[in-house]
Amino acid sequence: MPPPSHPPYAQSTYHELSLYSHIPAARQPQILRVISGITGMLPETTLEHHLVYKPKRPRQPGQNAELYYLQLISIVPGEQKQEEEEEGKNGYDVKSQKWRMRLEDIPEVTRRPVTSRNVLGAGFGEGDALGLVDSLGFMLQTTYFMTVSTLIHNNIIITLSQVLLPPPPPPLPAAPNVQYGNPYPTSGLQPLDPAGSWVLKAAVRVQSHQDVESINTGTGELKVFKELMRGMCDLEVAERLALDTRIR
Amino acid sequence: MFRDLGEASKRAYLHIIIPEVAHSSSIQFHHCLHPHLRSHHHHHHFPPTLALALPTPPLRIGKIYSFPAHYGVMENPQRSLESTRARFNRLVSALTAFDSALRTGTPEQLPPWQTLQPHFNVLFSILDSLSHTLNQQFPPPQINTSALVSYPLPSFPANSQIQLSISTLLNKKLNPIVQDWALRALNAPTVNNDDLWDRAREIVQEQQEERNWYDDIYSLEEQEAGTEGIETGVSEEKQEKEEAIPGLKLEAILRFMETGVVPADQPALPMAAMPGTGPMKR
Repeated sequence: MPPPSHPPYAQSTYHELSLYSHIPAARQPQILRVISGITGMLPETTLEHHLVYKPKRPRQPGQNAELYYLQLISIVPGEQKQEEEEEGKNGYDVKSQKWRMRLEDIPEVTRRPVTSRNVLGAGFGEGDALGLVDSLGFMLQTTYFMTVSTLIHNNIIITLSQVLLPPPPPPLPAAPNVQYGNPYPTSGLQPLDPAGSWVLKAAVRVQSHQDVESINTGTGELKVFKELMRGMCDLEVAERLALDTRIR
Repeated sequence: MFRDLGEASKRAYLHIIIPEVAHSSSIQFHHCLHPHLRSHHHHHHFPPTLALALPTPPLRIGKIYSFPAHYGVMENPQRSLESTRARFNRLVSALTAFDSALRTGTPEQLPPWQTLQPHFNVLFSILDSLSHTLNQQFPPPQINTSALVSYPLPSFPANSQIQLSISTLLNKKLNPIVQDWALRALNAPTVNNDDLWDRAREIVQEQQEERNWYDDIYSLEEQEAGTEGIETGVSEEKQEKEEAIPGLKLEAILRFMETGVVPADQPALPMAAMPGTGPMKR
């Protein structure tokens, strides 16, 4: 498919093969160091803001089409930057963030030793992303943050992430867009998991799910990586229904 | 493979060693069978000798297999020996064939596994039948020390630096004191095993009770040295900490990431009914 000329947005649609591992809080620094050593690079750590949207209208019984959760993701700038702009603003403007949209399909039923799912995504160029999503018929369900450390190993994108929840907003004053959550101060963000565990995900992106050869190559690479990490952590196929994004 | 004829007498045993493939194999089979064996059943000690020529044996004692005095166990020793010898010959030829197969091709590399595999099969089957034959034809004897006889080969280094003379080595008569004990034990009335073990248990219990196992953690050495405490890897506090925090499962975290439903509100997942839908459980 030839790329469209001068696209106003960046489209990223791919088939993702992945393995997950659950890392206890105490082992996270060690594992990060080890993978950093394996990949030969320093991890790139970002704080992501995730907005989970669900359709406003529930599924009519009798309709076959599935409804899915939609995610808007943006990268929260570092806290130092925010201090420079502190001039009476609340510091974090949801609307001015650069969002990208992502729809992750439910993983395929497959005998392969990897989770295989389709991911559709698009980045918004200019404009009001939140307004657009609202007009598409979605409403905000949940907001959360995620600190993600990314490393690349050959074709594998390794992400070590922890889900964080914003503190509940103060009752007064009622700041606008408070339902989207304020990541600042970052020290106020609490991990979702009381034990503070991390999720390690090793993923390979394949352009088309018809491309069996590439899928096999990707699966092979993941297998090799899993073997590499044997003893450190168990990279396993995640429960398929746990990654289900369909609306019940 | 070898057969150990009873622990009572370690002096006489049958050793069959497959010579290394690298050296040329030469198994010599010495038949020393008394010609009158079949007719004279009452002859006791006419054991055949099987001597294997090993590459460099330090000591060579003729290793004897002697079958028990009563003849009924081995009906036809000649047949047994013949069949065993035939199998050994097959083994030798298979080994030489294997050896030559290994030597073909480049010197550093093994031949492809397809050529090695039939050799393995053949060798395995030969060894299998050989061991079966040995087991069958030469049954393990009853431990009868008086019936085991050792015959040294002429090459036995009787005059070497080994102080033990042949007679000491091959002496079957026990030390007189030991002999008395043995006789007495053999002639004593049969022991009631249960009583014996009960009595043993009582003795052990008495000994256990006499000693204090739990109060003294430190050994005598450590006590005398005045050690206050020893650092081990186990810590009580650590264990308490670990048990205190119940964390979320990976499944719950992933579901939250995908759907935004907090774990507390997540409905239970239906268990995957179809094969291939769930993760590969170990």
